[in-house]
Amino acid sequence: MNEQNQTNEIKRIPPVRIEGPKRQTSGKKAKTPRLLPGFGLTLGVTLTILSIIVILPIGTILGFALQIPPATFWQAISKPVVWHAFATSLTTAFVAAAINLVFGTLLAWILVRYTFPGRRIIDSLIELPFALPTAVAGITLSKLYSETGLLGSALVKLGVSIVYTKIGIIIALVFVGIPFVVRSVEPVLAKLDGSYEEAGAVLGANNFTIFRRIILPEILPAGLAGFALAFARGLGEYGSVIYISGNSAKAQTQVVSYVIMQKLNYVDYEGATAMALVLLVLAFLILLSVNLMQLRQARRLGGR
Amino acid sequence: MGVTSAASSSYVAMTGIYKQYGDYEASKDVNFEITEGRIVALLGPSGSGKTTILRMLAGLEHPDEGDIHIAGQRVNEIVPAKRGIGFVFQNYALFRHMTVFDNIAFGLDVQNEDRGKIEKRVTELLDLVGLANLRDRYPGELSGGQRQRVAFARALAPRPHVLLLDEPFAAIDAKVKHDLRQWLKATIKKSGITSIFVTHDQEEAVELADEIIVTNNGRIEQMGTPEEIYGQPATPFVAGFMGKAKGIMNYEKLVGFDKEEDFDWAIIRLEFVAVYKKDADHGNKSAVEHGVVEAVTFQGTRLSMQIRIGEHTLEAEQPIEANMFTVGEEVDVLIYRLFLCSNTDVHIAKNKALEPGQVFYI
Amino acid sequence: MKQSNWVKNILITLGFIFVILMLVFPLVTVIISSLAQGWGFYLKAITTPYVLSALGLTLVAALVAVVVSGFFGLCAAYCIGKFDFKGKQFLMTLIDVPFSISPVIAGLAFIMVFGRIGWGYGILDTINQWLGTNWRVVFALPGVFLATIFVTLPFVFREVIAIMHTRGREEEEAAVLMGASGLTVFWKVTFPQIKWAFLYGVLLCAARALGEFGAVAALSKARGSTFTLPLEIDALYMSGSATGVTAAFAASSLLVLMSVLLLLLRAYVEHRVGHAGD
Repeated sequence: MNEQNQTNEIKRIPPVRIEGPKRQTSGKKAKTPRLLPGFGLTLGVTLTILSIIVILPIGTILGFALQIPPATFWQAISKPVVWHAFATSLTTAFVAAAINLVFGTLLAWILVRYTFPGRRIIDSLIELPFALPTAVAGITLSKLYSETGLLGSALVKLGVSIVYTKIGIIIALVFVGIPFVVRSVEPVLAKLDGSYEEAGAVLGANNFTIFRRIILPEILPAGLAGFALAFARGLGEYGSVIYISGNSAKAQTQVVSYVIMQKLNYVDYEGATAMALVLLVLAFLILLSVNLMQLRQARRLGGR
Repeated sequence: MGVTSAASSSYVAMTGIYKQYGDYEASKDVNFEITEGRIVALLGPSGSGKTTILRMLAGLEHPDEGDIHIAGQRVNEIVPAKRGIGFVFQNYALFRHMTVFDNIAFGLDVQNEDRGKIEKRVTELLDLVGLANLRDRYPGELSGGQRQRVAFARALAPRPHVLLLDEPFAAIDAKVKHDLRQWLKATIKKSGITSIFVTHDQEEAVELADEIIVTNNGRIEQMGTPEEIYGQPATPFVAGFMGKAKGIMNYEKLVGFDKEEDFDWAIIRLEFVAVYKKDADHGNKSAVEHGVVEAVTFQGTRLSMQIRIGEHTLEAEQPIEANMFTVGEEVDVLIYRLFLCSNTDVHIAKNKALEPGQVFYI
Repeated sequence: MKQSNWVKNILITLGFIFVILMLVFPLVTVIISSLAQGWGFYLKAITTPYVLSALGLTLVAALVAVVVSGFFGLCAAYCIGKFDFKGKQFLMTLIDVPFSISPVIAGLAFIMVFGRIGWGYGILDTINQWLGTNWRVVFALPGVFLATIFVTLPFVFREVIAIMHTRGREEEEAAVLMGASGLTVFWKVTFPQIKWAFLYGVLLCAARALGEFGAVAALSKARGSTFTLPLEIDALYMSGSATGVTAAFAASSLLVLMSVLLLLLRAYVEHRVGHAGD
C-alpha cells in the first residue's frame, strides 16, 4: 500500500461514541457472591490445620532464633563443629545432587525413549527411595558398603573404604535423591514431541548437536528443579546418612541434622535453633529457585 | 432499542444495567427485552460485554445497578439455581465420569424428582436430541456435536424458562457447524424455549437468531431482526461490523455520491460493489468507476479481488463461473450504495448516477 | 530420533548398572542380612514385645497421618483449586514447606512449642490442671503423631491439586446452576474426578508415615511405648552386637515389605490416574 492509501482509508472503523461523564456508582459495589459453595469452610480448615502443624511450630523456631542476641548466635554458628557440619552437608549434598542430575536425566531418557526388557521394573525401582524408610536405607547402605557387605568386601580388596567417609554420605544422598531428578525430567521429556528432533535432523544436525541444542535446553529447567529438590533433601537428610557417615567430628563426617539432634539431646536449644534457622534460610532459597524455574518452564511450554 | 421498564409482555428483560470490573466497564446502561419463545443472539467483538450480559442473566455475575427480570419476576436477588434458567457452557462442562443419561438426569436428580419421572423426561430428551442409542456412553466417547446435544438436553431437562448458551459452536468443527446450527435452531423451535446465545460470529447469529442484540464497548448498539441489523444499521459500528465492510474517506470523489455535512466518512460493503469487464454491456456506463485489478485471490467458489479506483482500494467478489480477471486488468466498477457515517449516525446513500428503475439485490 | 544402536545400548547399560548398584543391592542386602542367623532367629526377632509395640504404634501413627493429611489435602486442594483469592500462591508455598525442611527441624519445632521452654507447655499445663489429666506432647504419643502429620502434610494436597488444575471448575458451576447443594457437588462431581489422585496421595502419605525417622526421633525417647518401628530399628542396630544388627534388619524387612506393597499399589493407582486424566 502506498502512503496515500494510508491517509485516506480507514481499515478499522474508528470507535465513534460520545462518552457521557463517567458514572459514579453509589456507595460500595455489591460483591459478587462466589457461585460454588464451601470456600469459607475449606479455607478455614486449611488454615487451621496448616497453622497448628506448620506455621506455628516453624514460626516458633524463627521467633526463638531471632531473639537470640547476635553475639550468642554468631558464637553458636561459628563453632568449628557447626561450621564443619554445614561445609560437609553443603558439599556432599551438592555433589550427590550433581551425580543425580546426570544419572537421573539418563534414566529418564531411557525410560521415556526406549523399550527394553526390565523397563517397568526399573521404573518401579526408581520410587524405592521414596518408599523405603530412611533408617532402613541408612543401615542397609552402611551394611552394603561395610567390610562384610556385598560391595564393601570387594572394595576393601581394592583399598577403597567408603563407610565412615564423605563418600559414604554422598552415596546415601544419591540414593535418597535419585527419584527427584527422574520424576522431574520424565514428564518434560515425554511431552517433547519427536518432531522437534526430526526438524533438527532434517536441518542436518547430528545426534549430539540435536541433544545439546534442542533437547537439553528443553529439559534443563526440569533437571535443575530436580537437582534443587535433591539438593534440599540432601541438606536436611538425617536417617539415611547417620549410619554410613560415622559421625566423626575429627573426620568431619557429621552432617547438619546430626549436629542439631546432638544439641537437642544436650538440651542446647539455642545452638539447635541457630543452626535450624540457617538451614531454614538455605531451604527457603532453594525452594524459591525451584519455584522460579518451574514458573519459567511453565511459561516456555505455554502455561498449564 | 431497549425499553426502559420491564413491560409485562416481555419475558426476559434487563433495565439500566451497569457492571464494572475494577476500571473496566463491562456493561453501560444495558436495556433490552425479549419476547417469549424467541431465539436471540448477543453479537459483538470480544470484550464488548456480551458474555457479561449472559452471565448476569444466569446469576453467575451480579450487576452493580439495574434490574433483571425473567418470566415476570425480578431475579436480581435470586440464586442461579432458582432463576429457571438452563445454561450451556462454552465447553459444555459435561460431567465426565457420568453417562449421557446421568448427565441429563442430574438436574432432576438433585431436585429429588421421582425416579420414574426422571427416566421418562430423560428418555424424552434423548429422543429430542437423537441420542437415544448413546445413553450409556461417557462424554469422552462422544464427538463435539454429540456433546453439544447432551449439554443442550441436560440444560433443558428441568424445564427452565430460558435457555442460555455461551458460544455454543466454539468447540465445533467448521465443517459440521452449518448442519449443527440448523439442527439446533429446529430443535429449539420444537421445544419452544426462549433462548439467548452469545457469539462473535455474525454468520452464526444471522443463521440462528430471530433477533440480534449487537454489543460494543459495554453498550447495546442495536437490537432487531437479522434483516434490520444488516440492512438498516443504527450506528456506524453496526454498519461496519456486519458483512465484509471497509471504511473509506473522501467518498465524494466516487461517481454518484455527494459530500453530506457531518458525514465525514463512509462504509462500503462487499455486496455494494460489482465489477465488469471493460467491454461488457451492463447498461450503467455513466455510473461506473474505472479501476485496475491489483490482486486476485481464488477462494473456492468465489474470486476475491482488490481493485484500485483513484485513491481508494476496494474489495470485490465474483462467482467463480463468471468472468475471470487478471492482475493489472482495467475494469468497470459499479458502486451501488454506501453507508455514510457521522460520529453517531449512519444512513444509506444510493448511487445518484444509476438510472431510475435499476434493480439490484444485496 | 534415529540413533545408532550402540548409543542406545550404552545408555541402557549405564542405567542398569546405576539401578543395580544403587537400588537393587540395598534391597538384596536387607533380605540377606535379616536372614543372616536363620529363620528361627528371624521370627523371634520380629515378635519381640518391643518390635510388636513399635509396629503397632507405626501403623496407628500412619493411620492418623493419612486421615489428617488426607482431610487437609482435600480441603486445601478444593479451596485453592476451585476459587480465586489473594495469597493463593503464598498459601501453596506454605503447604510445601514440610517437603523442603529437614525432619529434625520439624522435631525441634514441636519441642520449642510444647517442650518445657515452649509457649504451648503452659497452655497444656492449664488444660491438664483444669481437666485433672496429665497430657504431654513432647516425648509422648501426641508428639509422634504431630511429627508424622508434619512430614506427610503436603502429599495428598499435591496429587489432588494437580488434577483440579487441569479440570477447572466448570463442571461444578454447571451442577450448582442446576441446583445441587454443596455436598452433592462435592460427592457427585468433584470427588469422582479426583478419587484416584486422592488414593495415590494417600499411598505416598502412608509410605512416608511408616518410615519417618528424624522428626519422630527428636520427639520420642521411650522404647517400647513411644518408639515407632524405625526408632526400634535404630535402637537394635545401635546396640552394636551381631544379633542386634540382624534383628534390626529383620525388623526392617517388615517395613520393606510394607513399602514394596505400597509401591505395587502405587503402580496400579498411577495407571488409573493416567486413565482418569483423559
